[in-house]
Amino acid sequence: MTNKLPWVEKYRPANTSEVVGQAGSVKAILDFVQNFKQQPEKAILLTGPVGSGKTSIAIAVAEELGYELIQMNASDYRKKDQIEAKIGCACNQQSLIPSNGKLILVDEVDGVHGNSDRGGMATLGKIVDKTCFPMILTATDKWNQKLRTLKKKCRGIDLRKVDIRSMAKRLGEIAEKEGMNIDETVIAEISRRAEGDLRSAINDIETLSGIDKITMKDLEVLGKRDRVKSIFDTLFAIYKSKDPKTIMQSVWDCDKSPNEIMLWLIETIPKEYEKPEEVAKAFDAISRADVFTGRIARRGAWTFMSYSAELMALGTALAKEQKYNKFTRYMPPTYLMRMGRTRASRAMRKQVAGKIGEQLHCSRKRAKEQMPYFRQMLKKKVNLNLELDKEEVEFLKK
Amino acid sequence: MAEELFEQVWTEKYRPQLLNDVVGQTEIVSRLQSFVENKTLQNLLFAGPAGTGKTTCAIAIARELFGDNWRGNFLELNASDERGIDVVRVKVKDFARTRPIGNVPYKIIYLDESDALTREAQQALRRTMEDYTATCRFILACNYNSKIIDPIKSRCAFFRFLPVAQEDVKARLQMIGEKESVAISDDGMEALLEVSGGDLRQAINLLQATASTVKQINAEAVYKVAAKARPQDIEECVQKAFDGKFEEARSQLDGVMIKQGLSGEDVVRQMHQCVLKMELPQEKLVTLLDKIGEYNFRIIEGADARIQVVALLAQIYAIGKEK
Repeated sequence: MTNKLPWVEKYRPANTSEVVGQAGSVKAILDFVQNFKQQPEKAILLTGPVGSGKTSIAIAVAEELGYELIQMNASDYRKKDQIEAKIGCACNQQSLIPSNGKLILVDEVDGVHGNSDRGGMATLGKIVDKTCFPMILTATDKWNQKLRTLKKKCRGIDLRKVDIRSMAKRLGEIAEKEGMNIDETVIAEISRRAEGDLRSAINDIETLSGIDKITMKDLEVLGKRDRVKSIFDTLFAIYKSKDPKTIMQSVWDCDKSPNEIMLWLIETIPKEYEKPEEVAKAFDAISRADVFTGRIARRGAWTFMSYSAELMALGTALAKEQKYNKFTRYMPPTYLMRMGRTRASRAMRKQVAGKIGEQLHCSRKRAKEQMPYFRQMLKKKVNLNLELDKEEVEFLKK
Repeated sequence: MAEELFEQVWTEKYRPQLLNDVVGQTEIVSRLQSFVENKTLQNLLFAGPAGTGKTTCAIAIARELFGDNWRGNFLELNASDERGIDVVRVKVKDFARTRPIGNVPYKIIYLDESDALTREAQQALRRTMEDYTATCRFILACNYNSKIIDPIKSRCAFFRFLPVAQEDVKARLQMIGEKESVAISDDGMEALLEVSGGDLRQAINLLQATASTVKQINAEAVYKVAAKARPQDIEECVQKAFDGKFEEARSQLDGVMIKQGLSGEDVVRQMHQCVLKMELPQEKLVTLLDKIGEYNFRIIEGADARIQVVALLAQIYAIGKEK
């Protein structure tokens, strides 16, 4: 065999018809790129779990339409200057090599790091604003806070996990082309284990390709990947199971910290549980988990964090009398978004409270408690001597 | 708006200047006075609820020890405002480095709300206290002395401030009323006492706010001002949760906490007030009070007050639905 490319590259779809699953999304993306001039948005934010085909779809679309593909991925640096150098120019120049157009692909935008890639997100946003060519930005977690501003500028398209049947079909095709002797049941098992990640499944059969006749037993060489669970998997485990092992595994495998999981639980408990006593029981467990967290933080005893996480997850899981056989749409916590939106006025409140505290020998917290009284006095045209400037007085009066 | 006539905040205007004038706390005051007379001050720990005179006593000690120079020898820090022990350490160091002004051998550092410090920060603070024994005395104030580590407690003379007795609050308000020429009716006084519950700071602020609306202070006016200061939202949240509309209540509660910057303890205190006002069957009232008390403790111990408050709302929801 002369072609030494890894199979995941070798069998990347050459055109959109070869993309596994995701038919609706592929069509939407093709349409977007072809009719770019008529689109209200200039970029697609393509989200979906690992190995669902985000990058492959972008490449296949460019191939099929004969577009030049400008690609930037996670291994590139994402600082402001570097982003501008790499794609900022490409967005505005006609291509030098003959092609039908250009498609710009920025992979894994949720990997743009807050600190070491300073200014990266803002620069990306600006490039999206002024690009002359269609862009596709990919990310795994569509709820990631970092994507908040980009989301508003982009058409959002969300891929699903690759379903087992389509995956098995694709693996079968590859096995046949490679002349492997592999049983259908083995392929089915690989597909099942991949949990919707086609890339890992292809890697798995490539690993097995040296074996003459592949049976179920050979699968043991493939270690089970400790897959990072999305928050939805974790919530599903907590709400639909009562098995401590399953539940805790899904908590530790989750890509969100226990504190974040707690925020999601607070948001979703009343949606999942219908009996008030279940809701109360679950919240009681969460409350006590928070008490643990407080003690842990105060003593710096971080090794005790597992007690808090267990109480939170198992306490919530065991609050149900029996699992609800229904589909609940788990929405992300609104609290953080609301906090974000009110940042400016909270900063102002803090500043005013600080000044009042200085005048009245008390903490900001105490000052805030007393603020309503001062508000009423100011409204009655009493000029309080609190050393506040005009803007601060106006804020306090509101 | 032409001439800017400023009115002082009464809590400052009438803050007692000398230990002798401090309202209530007679036992504590007499011991503090003997320290001042001998000019031998130990490190002190004041524990007690808000508005009972901790800061007032600290400032009065400084005034009596240092006279007019007191501000130069007195550093006031607030542990709940300063971000970490490092800020405290740097400020303490800078302050302690220079000699005291006047003929006392030391300066005073007043650290308010020291129960907001983490245990490590308190350990560090204990070192700092030892390092500067030659030049500084510390007065630590806190609401809950259970949150102060034992090594610090053992290095301080400990004073427990109790809520100021009703007749003392009454006398103080009467005095302020006379000086400011506002008449307080008997029922007005009752209302002031009831709303402020032994917190003199709140009582005086409430008096001043009410006085800005009417000259004759009666119960109606006091409750009106207090109700405005205590937004209706919390009452609505509790009622909604009790009536089974939990998600609506929670969303509203988040809004109140975020927009008005209410602390978790504030919210629970107000929930407590409105549960008392609701006309409930006795068993339900007792169950609710049990929960509210429990969750108030959990806020003190916990990491995130918002979580506790939402969880409490869930308990109210379940109790409301109970048969």
